[in-house]
Amino acid sequence: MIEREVMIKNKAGLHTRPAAALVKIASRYQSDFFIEKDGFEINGKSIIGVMTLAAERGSTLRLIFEGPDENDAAIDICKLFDEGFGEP
Amino acid sequence: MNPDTALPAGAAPGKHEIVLRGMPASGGIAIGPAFVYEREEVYVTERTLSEEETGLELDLLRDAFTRARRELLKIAEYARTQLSEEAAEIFESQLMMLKDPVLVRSLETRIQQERKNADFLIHHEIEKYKALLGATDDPLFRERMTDLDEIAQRLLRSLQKKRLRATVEGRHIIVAASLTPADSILFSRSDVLGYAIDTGGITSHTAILARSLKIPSVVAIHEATRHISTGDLLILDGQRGLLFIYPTAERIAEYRQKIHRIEELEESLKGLVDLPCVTPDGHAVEISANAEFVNECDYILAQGGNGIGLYRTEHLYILEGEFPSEQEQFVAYSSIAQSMYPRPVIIRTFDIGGDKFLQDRQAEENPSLGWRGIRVMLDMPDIFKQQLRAILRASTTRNIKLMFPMISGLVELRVARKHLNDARAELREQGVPFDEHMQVGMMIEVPSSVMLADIFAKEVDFFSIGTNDLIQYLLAVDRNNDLITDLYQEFHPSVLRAIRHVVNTAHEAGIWAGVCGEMAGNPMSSVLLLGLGLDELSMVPSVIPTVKEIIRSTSFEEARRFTDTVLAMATATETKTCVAEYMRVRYPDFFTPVQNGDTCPILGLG
Repeated sequence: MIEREVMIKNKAGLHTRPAAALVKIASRYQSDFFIEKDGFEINGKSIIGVMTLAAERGSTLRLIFEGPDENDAAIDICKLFDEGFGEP
Repeated sequence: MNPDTALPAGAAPGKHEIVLRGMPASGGIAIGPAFVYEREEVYVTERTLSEEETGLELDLLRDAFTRARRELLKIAEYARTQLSEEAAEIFESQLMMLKDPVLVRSLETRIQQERKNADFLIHHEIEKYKALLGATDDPLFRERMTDLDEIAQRLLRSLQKKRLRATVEGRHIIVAASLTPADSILFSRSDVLGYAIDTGGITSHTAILARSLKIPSVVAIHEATRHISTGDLLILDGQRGLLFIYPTAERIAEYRQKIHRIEELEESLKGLVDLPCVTPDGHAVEISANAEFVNECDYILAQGGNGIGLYRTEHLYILEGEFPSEQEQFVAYSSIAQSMYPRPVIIRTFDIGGDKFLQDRQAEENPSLGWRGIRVMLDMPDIFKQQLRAILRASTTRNIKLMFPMISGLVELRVARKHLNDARAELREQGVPFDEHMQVGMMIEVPSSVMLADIFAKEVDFFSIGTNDLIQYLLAVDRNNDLITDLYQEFHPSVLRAIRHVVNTAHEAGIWAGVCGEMAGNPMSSVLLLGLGLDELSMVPSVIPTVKEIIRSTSFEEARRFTDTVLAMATATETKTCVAEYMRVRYPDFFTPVQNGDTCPILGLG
């Protein structure tokens, strides 16, 4: 199991477009992927789940990866957060 | 039987005619039976299933998902081919929700474990998510609740094997309390005569779509659904914003006559398309169109439009509820520039705010005097720069011009231009090509910009006068306030003087000036605007032939003399009466007197 902490950098937060990008990438991996925010955990492959997090700029999320390709999944997904989903 | 005197189906000669007034949202007249569209509330009851039923319920659930996805896919496809990429995206995010593995799996598990009926569980799950979203204050997230509601409704309807109701057999005028974008797109596939909607404004989705599909529409009627049943005969006057229920035989005859005149007039104006818009004494005026969607270009060209004088970019935001990426904007701007090539396209940067922006954000006491237009963009420099980059990248076709809305002082203009220069520098550095000579202009809609026109004229390539806001600000009249609508006066002497000042100042500085507000599209003001010396008039495409014909048959000399007469007048009553009288006598084919002594143009929004 891998755990990572990330911060939302883009201005608009984890709204529809970033959420869709995140879910699309997560779905490519076999590993389970969960996101925890303020003690609330959701499945990172669920677009509705990701949106209900309502993660705004500046919020901190804990990412949990578990499965055969957890390393690659963690690298790929953390990169997405690092780049602020390519948004300002 | 004479078809002109025969009463159409649905006519009710015994009943008293009712006249309802709304806001004209899309021009044209429709006579026909009503179809009252009620967003079907799907009722859900809780049921416990037997063991055999449980397996069956799982199959029903999967079928419902498959059908709902197929429906949405079709709608998205239709939106993409008929409207725009942006319109399609609303439906694509809903489609993704319908494919959510967690939603599907938890419904399946719950059916097996709790042995409850699928519709009850769908309702329960979606409400759970909505409660979570409702806990946030961010409007961008809260708007997603509408998406959740829509997919829940779609799934439930699909589960209960109800057909999509947003189709009608035969030709009807659709009457509804409100319409979602999906509803109006679905209806547009049937033979819809018109829309009569109780809510909404002229900038609502339905109104925008109706205009782009040329379906007569009246919005904000408030009590249409209360008075009308399916099958009632209606007359919908999309020009004047009127709806007649149980129209009298005389009313029907009057409107048939009107339709006849409109058709005749349209026919007679067809030959104008390729003719230049020049007065008999050789003065040329550029006639262009206001547009939102790429698919409007064909119609604009068919009407003889010489370009796009106002391309509104806000719909990219409004349709999605979020700002589009640079790449998406680049695609949108390039495709409109290519569709109109080599004719000019003036792109206005996001004019969001007032009524359009973040509706459930803390409401501003006075939104039209608040955070809107260029003010919002200067507070969001990253988003602004993204848009400027997209416009610059699209400008390689060399027919794009850019303008900033709501400029009220020189500092705003300079900061906006600085962002533009930064964007240019970035692109140069990245080796991305753009038009180095793209014209940059500004809208004149705040009275302060009228007063400072000489100063602004030194720093822009053109002015485009936004009469709607200018009149509102100049006269301190909110035109959505029913109590004072009669004070919103296009021909108020102060408005005419403001326009004259702006045009003269522009010309002294060697730049051009146009009008892109509704005044340009009101044929009643055509001679006046010609006489004031405007170089360009940008309007809804449906009135282009009328305005062109008026200008082609009025000499610039005559228009100038008439304008001098009008501008010497002191009150709005005098100016209005004088203009109406002049236009009705001079162009009897285009104007028609109406009951209260007013005169109304035959084509276009009155």
